[in-house]
Amino acid sequence: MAIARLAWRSLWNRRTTAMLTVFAIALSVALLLGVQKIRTAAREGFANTISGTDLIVGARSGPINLLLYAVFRIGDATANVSWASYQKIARHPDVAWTIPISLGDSHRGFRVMGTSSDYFAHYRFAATHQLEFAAGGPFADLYDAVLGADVAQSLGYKLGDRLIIAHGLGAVSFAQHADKPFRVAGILQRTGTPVDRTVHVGLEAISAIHVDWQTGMQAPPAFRVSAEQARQRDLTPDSITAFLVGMKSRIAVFQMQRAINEYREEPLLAIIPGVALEQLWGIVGVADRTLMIVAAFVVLAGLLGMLTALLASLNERRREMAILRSAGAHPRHVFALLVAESGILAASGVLLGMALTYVLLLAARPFLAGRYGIFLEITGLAADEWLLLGAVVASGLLAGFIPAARAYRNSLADGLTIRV
Amino acid sequence: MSRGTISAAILVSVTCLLLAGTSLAIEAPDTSKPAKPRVTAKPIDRSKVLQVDWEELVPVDDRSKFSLVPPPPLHDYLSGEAGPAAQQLPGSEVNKDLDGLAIRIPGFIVPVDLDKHNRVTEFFLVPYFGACIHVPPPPPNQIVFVKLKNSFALESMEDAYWVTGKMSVQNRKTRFGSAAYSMAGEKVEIYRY
Amino acid sequence: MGSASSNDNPGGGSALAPAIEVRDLEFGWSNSVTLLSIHAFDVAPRERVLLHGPSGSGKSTLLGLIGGVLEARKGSVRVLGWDLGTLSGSQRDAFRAEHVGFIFQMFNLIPYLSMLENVLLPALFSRARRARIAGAAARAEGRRLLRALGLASESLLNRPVTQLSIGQQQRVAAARALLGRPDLIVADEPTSALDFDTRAGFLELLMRECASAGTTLLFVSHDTSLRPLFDRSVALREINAASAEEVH
Repeated sequence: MAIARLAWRSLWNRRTTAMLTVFAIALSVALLLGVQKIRTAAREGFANTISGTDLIVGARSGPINLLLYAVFRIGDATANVSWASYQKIARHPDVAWTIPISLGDSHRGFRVMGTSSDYFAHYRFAATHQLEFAAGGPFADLYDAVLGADVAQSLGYKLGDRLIIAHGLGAVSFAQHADKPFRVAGILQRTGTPVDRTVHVGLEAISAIHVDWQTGMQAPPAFRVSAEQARQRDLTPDSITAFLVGMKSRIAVFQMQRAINEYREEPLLAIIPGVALEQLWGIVGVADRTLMIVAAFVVLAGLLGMLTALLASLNERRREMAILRSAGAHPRHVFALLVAESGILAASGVLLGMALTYVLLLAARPFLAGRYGIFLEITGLAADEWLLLGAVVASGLLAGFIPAARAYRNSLADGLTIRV
Repeated sequence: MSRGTISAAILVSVTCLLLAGTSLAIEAPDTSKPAKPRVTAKPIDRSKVLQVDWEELVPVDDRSKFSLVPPPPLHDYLSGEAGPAAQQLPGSEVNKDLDGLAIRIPGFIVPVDLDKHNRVTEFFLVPYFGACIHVPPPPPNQIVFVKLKNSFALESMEDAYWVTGKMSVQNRKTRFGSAAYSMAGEKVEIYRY
Repeated sequence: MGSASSNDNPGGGSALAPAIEVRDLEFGWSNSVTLLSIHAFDVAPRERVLLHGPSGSGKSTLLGLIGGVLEARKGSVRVLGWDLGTLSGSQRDAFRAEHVGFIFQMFNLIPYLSMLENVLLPALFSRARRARIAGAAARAEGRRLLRALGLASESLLNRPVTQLSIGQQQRVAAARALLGRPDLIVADEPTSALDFDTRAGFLELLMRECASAGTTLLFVSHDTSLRPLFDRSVALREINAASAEEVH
């Protein structure tokens, strides 16, 4: 294709300007594509995280808040659920199983979750997947811990290693439970959910480490209780943060939910996970649609930059057009040349943008996983993403029509006159 | 047309193209291919689909029954006692005539399970919006648990939808007496008033 | 260029018909001004004609009309038998690509193409011209022309065209105009920017190639000292009745 070759040579001749234009388009495409990939990953991540659970119950706050802290470990509970209320509901004849959850401690930035061994039997994610162990097994001893895949990997833990749990949720804590070390009894396989970033211990263990703590502070040495002494005590918790419920009959869910919400003994909240997720997306959906539109406008700005560069160069290229016409080019060849140039610029920008996106996503992965529980799979492009890129190239070609049309008219008017 | 007009027209087209591409991408999670069929029942004969009202889910002999005595308060449900009070929970009887029928019924969706593209795979179908919040929940014979053959992108929980599928009345012994409604859902369409 | 060939072509193709035939031509850049008013102007085939006149007198404009780039307001311009007024814009472009070679006063070359690519430009746009020199043979023909015009040295070939001297650039332009043995070459003051010696050399090469290819040459210049080299010399004011200044 002669015109394409001419267009390529012409751009190469002005390569500094051309490369700046390409880079501008690449950056905007990287933004567009990056936002799209993160949106998709976020949705998938959230949807995958919990399934097979009929109700989530916690202290009365708001449904989305409960969903976020109980399942995604984002945010905090406002209050706790008393052990008595939990027991009452757990023992109800229509309830098939419950998984209690106790949050509030951390280990080097990863949340520690107290739970029962039912967790490993009943927790489901990504529709039907069950938790599986890469090494070891569930809690056997009081001070056993089961690590999520990311915890083990980033901190380099193996079976049998010791770890100290810290009080509070920060990455650093000055209040440690150093006298009661835990042993790694199991490491879970990767799930792509917040489970990977959680340290699981037994409910009783949470009681044990707090047995000599009063109002957030450990008792002075005279009153301390050692790890071994703690074993002898009654470690039934006073309260838990939240719990998951599986019903024997699904139809009973509404009944149970109403009953819990209207429970007079304690202010509780029960949510149906699917409903809360949809509500969450209703809110987030507005923000992420807006983000996409902003990204589209950034791409438009990039294309306008390309347009400006091409238009600005037109005046000095009138001689060039006259020479082409004298050699037999039709004005439509001139038109095609300009459109080809804009097409090459747009396509190069898109390709570079794709590469940039992957680089940025690779860099952002750990951050997104740590802060927001969004697990980015670095995969190829989905159909809708190819469509998006196609739209950018098409827009670039279309934008090229403007300088092309002007060059067309110019070459018609100029003829062979020397206009330098 | 002046040059300026043409340029303006092209710029507008470019913007529209970009936005169109973007909005396609925004909507795209819903254009992903639906999950593999989850329920492998025989597909229903479309010509024999029966359109059903919620009232028909109540057995014929119960339709005329109405008691002014309010049902036991729901929080008492938590005390978990089996017994005559529970058996008389209104709305626990089901209409066995609907078993195995292909029906089409409109209602509101309460999602239970979502696949990874955020498409609904299992849900409760209820006669009114807000079944899971302030108002009292519908009685058991006014709830249908639907398992979809192909997952479905739920636009809004506030919209009503027509659900078509094969109804089954399960004779499982639960606290609610004999049974519950469930459906192998084939098609979900938006309900237009 | 199918449609132009099938056009009515009274008197076209025969060796006796004029290569250029202008009758009652009127042209002006705007309707109120008349730049050219030519009653009759002929150029015979294979003839080498010098058209001279002072700057701004309309020489370039006349070349534009003969080249089919501009359209006459009134009158007819027949080139190689074809009445350019009856052809559409794209037909005229195709006609030009196929039959006519151009040489300008300066800035003849496309800066981002090599010497050879510049020479081969007409082959890009005219299938017929390409056909006459048959594809791959185009490159050979291009090189031959460059050699004939004294431009074949290796060091020159690798240099960007913008670094060539004016004389060298003009010769490349000449080679381009000559590619594919066109019927007519139109040259608009090609030697005006050259010094005396370079000019002589250029003209000698150009004449030789035109003679061997049987090409008609219409050469425009303000320099009347070139007269002896041409078959015929015509002053524009002799044929042009209008007196308005040409504006560049």
